[in-house]
Order: sequence, then C-alpha cells, then structure tokens
Amino acid sequence: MSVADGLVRDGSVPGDRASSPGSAPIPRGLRGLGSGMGKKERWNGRFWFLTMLAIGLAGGCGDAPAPKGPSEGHKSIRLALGTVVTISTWGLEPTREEAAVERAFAEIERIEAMMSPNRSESELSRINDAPRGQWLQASPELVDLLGRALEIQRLSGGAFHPGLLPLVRLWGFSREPAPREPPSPESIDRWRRLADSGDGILIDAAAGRVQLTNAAFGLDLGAIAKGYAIDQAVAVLRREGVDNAIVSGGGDLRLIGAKGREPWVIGLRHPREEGGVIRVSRLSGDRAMMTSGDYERFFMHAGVRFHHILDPATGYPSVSGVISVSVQATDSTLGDALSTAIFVLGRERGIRLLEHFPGCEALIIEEGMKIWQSAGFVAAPHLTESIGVTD
Amino acid sequence: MRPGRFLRETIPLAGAAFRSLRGATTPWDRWLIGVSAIGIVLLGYQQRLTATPGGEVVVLRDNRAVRVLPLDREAWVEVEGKLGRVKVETRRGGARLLEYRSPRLIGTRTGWITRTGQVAACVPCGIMLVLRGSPAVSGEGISPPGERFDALAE
Repeated sequence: MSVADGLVRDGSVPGDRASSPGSAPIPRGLRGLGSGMGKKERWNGRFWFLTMLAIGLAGGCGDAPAPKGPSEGHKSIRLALGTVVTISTWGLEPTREEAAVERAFAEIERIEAMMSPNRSESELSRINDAPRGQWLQASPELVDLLGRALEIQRLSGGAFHPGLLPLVRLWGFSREPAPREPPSPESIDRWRRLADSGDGILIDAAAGRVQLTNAAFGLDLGAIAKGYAIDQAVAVLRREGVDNAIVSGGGDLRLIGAKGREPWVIGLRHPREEGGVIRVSRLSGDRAMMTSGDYERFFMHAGVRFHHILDPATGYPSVSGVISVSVQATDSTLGDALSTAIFVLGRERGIRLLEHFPGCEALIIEEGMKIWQSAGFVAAPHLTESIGVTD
Repeated sequence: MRPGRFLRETIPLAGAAFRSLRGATTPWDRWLIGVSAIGIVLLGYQQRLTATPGGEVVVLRDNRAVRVLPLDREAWVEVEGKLGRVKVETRRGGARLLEYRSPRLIGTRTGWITRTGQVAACVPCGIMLVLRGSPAVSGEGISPPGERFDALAE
C-alpha cells in the first residue's frame, strides 16, 4: 500500500464525522467560507478548507494505484530452465500461495532435471550418451513429449526438430563465454551431410522406448520442454486450488483466470528496440503466449546477425525474414514448438502450418517491422515506450 | 461539455473560491497553505523517482539469498557465481550486475533496476538480483506500483 493510498482512505473519515451528530456538517463549513463571518465560522471554514486541500493534494500525488494487499497479488521469481521463471498469482492468502508456488517450482525443477541436455545425470543425457542404433527405455512422460515433438516436426516439414543438440553445440549459443563468430562452413557441411544420411529419432510409444539412429542428432527439447514445464507448473497450481496465475519462463508464459475483475495485461517486447513494447494483450481464462525471436541470443559478425534459432535444413540460423513470432495457444507445449517452427518456415509457410492447429493464433514480425497478425490473436498496438530498463 | 462552456462556468467559480479563501484566511494561513502544498508535491515527486523508499536488493545464488544490500548508499560487493565473481553495485535507490555482459545475462533487466520487484540476472552465473521495498511501503513480492504489465512476452 502506498502512502497516497493511506491518505485517500483516511480522507473519507472527516466526511463521515461531518455527518455524525454534534459535529459541523460539511455544507455548513463550506458556507462559512466568505467575508463577514464570525470568528468560529471562520475557523470552521479554515479547518475544512485546509482538510480538503490536504486530501486533494495527497490524492493527486504519486501513482495512486488501486489498493493492494498481500492477499491480492504476489510474484515469485527463480532461476530455472536456463532463464528467469516468474509465477504471479492473484487473490490467494499468502501462506496458501507460498505452498502452491513452491510445488509449482518443484515441478519445474523436476522436469528440468529430467529433460535438460546440459545435466549429465538427466534422462535426456542418458539417451544422448548411448550408442546410436540402440533402443532405450524412457519414462512415459518423455516418450509422450517426444511423440508430440515428432508430430510437429512432421507437420512443419522438418522446420521444427527436437534432435539438434550436436548442431546447437557446434554453434555454441549456450556456451560461456558466448561465441563471437560462426563455426567454419566445413564443420557445418560435415554436420549437414551426416544429417542427410538418415533419420534421427525413433520412438516406440507402446514399449516406452527411444532410439537415436544418427550421430548428427541428439535430443535437445529446448524449443518445447520449456513450454511443457510451464504447462505442468500450471497443472500443479490448479491442483493446489490456484485459479488466477501467470507462469512465465523468460517471457514464454501461460496464464489462467484473471486479476480480479481485470484481465492479465501482457506486453509483447519490441524485437528491435531494447526495453520497448510493441503490442499489449489483455488475456484471461486459460491461454499460453509463446515467443521466438532473433534478439535474445545472438552475436554480430561481419555485420551479420547470427541468432540461436537454427534451420535444420541448412545448419545455419534461420533466414526466413522473420524476426519474431508470438503464438497464442491452448497450451504452452504446443505454442513453444509452433513459434519456433513458424520462425524457421517464414510467414507464408508458417501461416499454412498454423491452419493445422485450431485455437492457435500468431503474430509474425518480419524484417522492416512488417507485422502480420491472425484474426484471433489478442493484441492491441502499443506506443513503444520504456519498460523501466535503464542502463 | 464544450471547453468554452466549461471555462465560462469554471472561471467564476474559481474566482469565488479564491475570494472565499482570502476572506477565510490570514496571510500567514495562505503562506502555510502554499508551503504545505509545495512540500506535498515535492514528496510525491520524490516517491515517483524512487519507488523503493528504504528498499534493498536481495542477491540470490542458485535461488538462495546470500546478501541483502540497502539501496540508500553507494556501494558494491562481489559474489561468487558459477563462472567466477560477479560484481553487484548499488546507487541512489537502484542496483545492477556488473562484469558479465553475456547475451545470457537475462535478458530483460540487465541495466540498473530501480523499482520494487524488478530483476537482474546472470543465468550462467546463477546470480540474480531482486529489488524489494520497505515492508511498510510495499510487501515483498507484490507487483511494483505503476507496473504496466503483469508479464512481458519475449
């Protein structure tokens, strides 16, 4: 609660007192303002004038936000999934909120421990480290997610690929210090030839098995697992009785419910203006909003921007002309994969892919800031302005 | 209401209020009113500039708080991160991470952070800064006053 809030709230008290027996009512006091008054009337006039002035000035100062209490809105922030994960809730008692959010974060951590390719003990790493051509038992959860990933790979004509780990490592976008130049064309050609020599990932859903068949491929679910973790965190929150929340992982998010009587307000980052917002989405109910852009991880070399979204067809960062794609979907898992696939496919082919997924909407920004937005994508233009970042 | 009509009706009212004010107050009262008004406006302006009065920055390593620094003084500390030492600087109601200027310095808040709830993080370092205000002013974790978005899609 701000100081201004307190004064505004207190400001109602004199009015109440004025209507109580034995005290001077406001109209009389106001009538007392003027020349030719008695001493008492003049004092009354002064008192009310000064009181009202103080209330007016206090109310006019500061941002005067809607009154908030700890049980209305709460935000918890952790480092997870290789990014900053934020869980915002609305309308919960703090102790209940704390327990629910703790379980949601624990679920995110569980999924990261299972699906991170950078943790040597993860289930994903166990599969990646095994010899190619060997069937391996995998958890039903992982097999199921891989099945979804391979379906989107098929529908996108290979633009989305869950097996690009060797290529991602070749480019080194997850490495520290970050790369400053691209890998040699020869190394990418070698990867390309190997990748063309055969399929990469097989699953046997009935038996719960996975097989990697080609050394060019290793599982990297970075373009779908974050969405899956967000979905699972939302499921945990729901089970814990949380009806109004946003789970955001580095700007990919899913929301449920609303913020009291108001929808959640989501700003969509401007892809070329640091700290800018290009669209505002007012969403409520149950909606995921996932974004892929060339601005998060990239380096400039010889005047060319090399970003982290790789095109499996070439082995190089995608050059489809798209610089940002946001997908609003029924779940984050699908939205995550679709935003990457559309980014790689480009606008026209991306729109055709979108038609396979009823309930999914997209906003595509191309070079030159050309914006295409599907009819059902909820977003209004926003005057670009700072989001509070200073440097 | 049209602007012309509004002005025609408002100006006489304002004049009457001013005459009433003069009649109801002494010069000393008016001086007091003026000084109070200026003081209140300055106080409000100061609050707008620093949304975290009495605030502090919590430094977290692997999601565990390792330091809490007040924001009302110019200072810096070094915290051991996964990739080496990371410098945290505080100044005039704000804080920032120094030294690591990687693209993975997430991402959204890498410069000075000045408002309650804002975050600066170096993901590969495992270091995160979260600003929180004085508990009397703003409860920990509550969205900062004036925050325009509940979340940022990026």
